[in-house]
Amino acid sequence: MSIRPIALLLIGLLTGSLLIQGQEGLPSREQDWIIETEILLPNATLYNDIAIRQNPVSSTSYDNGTVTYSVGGLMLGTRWKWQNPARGWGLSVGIRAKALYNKITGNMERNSDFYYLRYYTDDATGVTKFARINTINESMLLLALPLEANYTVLRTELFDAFISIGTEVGYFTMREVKISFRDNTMKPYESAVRKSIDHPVNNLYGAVYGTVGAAIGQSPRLIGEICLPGIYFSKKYFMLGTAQYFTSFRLSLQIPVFKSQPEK
Amino acid sequence: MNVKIFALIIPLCMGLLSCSKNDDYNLSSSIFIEDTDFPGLPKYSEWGYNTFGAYIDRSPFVSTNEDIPGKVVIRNDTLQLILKGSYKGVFAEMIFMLGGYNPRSHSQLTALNGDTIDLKHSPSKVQFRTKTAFYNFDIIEGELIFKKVQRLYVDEEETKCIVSGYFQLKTFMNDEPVAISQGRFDLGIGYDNFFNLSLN
Repeated sequence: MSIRPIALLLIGLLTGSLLIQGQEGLPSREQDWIIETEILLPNATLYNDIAIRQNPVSSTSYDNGTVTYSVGGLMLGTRWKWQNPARGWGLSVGIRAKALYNKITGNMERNSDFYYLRYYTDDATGVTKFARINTINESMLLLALPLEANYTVLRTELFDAFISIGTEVGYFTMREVKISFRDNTMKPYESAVRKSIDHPVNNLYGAVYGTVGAAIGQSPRLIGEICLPGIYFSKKYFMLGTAQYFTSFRLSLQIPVFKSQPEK
Repeated sequence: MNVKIFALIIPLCMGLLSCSKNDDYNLSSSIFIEDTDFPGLPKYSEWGYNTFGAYIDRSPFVSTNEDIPGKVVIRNDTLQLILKGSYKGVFAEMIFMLGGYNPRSHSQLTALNGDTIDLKHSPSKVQFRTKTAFYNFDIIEGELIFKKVQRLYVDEEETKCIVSGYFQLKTFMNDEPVAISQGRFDLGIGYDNFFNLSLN
């Protein structure tokens, strides 16, 4: 990142925070119930040692074909938030359920909806075995406890802009790998194929993240947030690839439950 | 026979045929992944990508998509490894003739696994020809290395033999010494490109 955007961001935050100081007519204490959903986009890379043969792309091309490795997820969660609207600060805790997947699919050129995975090789006997695979899909369910602090940097008549920083810890309560073979007669060999793609995973989860967002409305408030790249505590949450960073788009509904009298 | 039975059988047969065609296509086509260190040549691989390449002095002699890049022909206890491709824009082929090898089927090519053949001192010959020229190389020095030869099973059925390795040699072309360097090959040898003529 260059210096200029950072300088602009800092100037914006400073200006915003000066505008927030001494806001009158806002309550000094407020408690809210937040319902949230989020699209998760981990930035993952397929493990190099998953041995996939490249497929031809087309008869005229001299290029190589590839498989597609996709990673994503969806979060549903709820949080309880304590905040001081007059000063712009807030703190929240809650629980989140995240459904995540990572999937390897074959390229679809020339009806090749499968790829060859090398799952066995023995130099002594000179035998190599490929399996024709349509998809390998790992699905996971993660329960996480977030702790998040936010600060409102700008208030306008239309919306409030804020930044937040958060951390979450959790545990992968479910993890399932499904291999879809081109030929179902390969089902009895699934464990051997599975062994060839197996990588150690960390079921204890943790991450830190920051977001920028905007809130509209008063009661309830609709909040949209973009997660600046979040950082995972471990790279090994997925069996098929490694992920260090993630981004996300979050949409929340903030319902005020308690408000103190506005400050004078 | 009932028309309904035909209506069921014909699409089923077409489906089965299209599957096998597609499999053949994937394993028999050439997948050329260029070696960034040696432009114009395929990267060395052991996947059965059906490519080969070498520099003849500075010009690449490489496999193409048009011609089947490799054939193995057994004739009179001699194994001929035929590499067909393009050199200076025209069709060219190089034939390594290796004495003392007589595999009965492509599966038995694994006997070559790990072998290094001294092209100067063994009873081997190397020929090279284009549309307009033919060379029976007088080898100054050279070697052919079968780095890895694997019997390939796809979905637990034996299909091909993947023959991968390197070659380099020094010889004469039109009385001028030339070096054939950085040679590498990765070929799938199966029913369609293995011929044992000694069995007839």
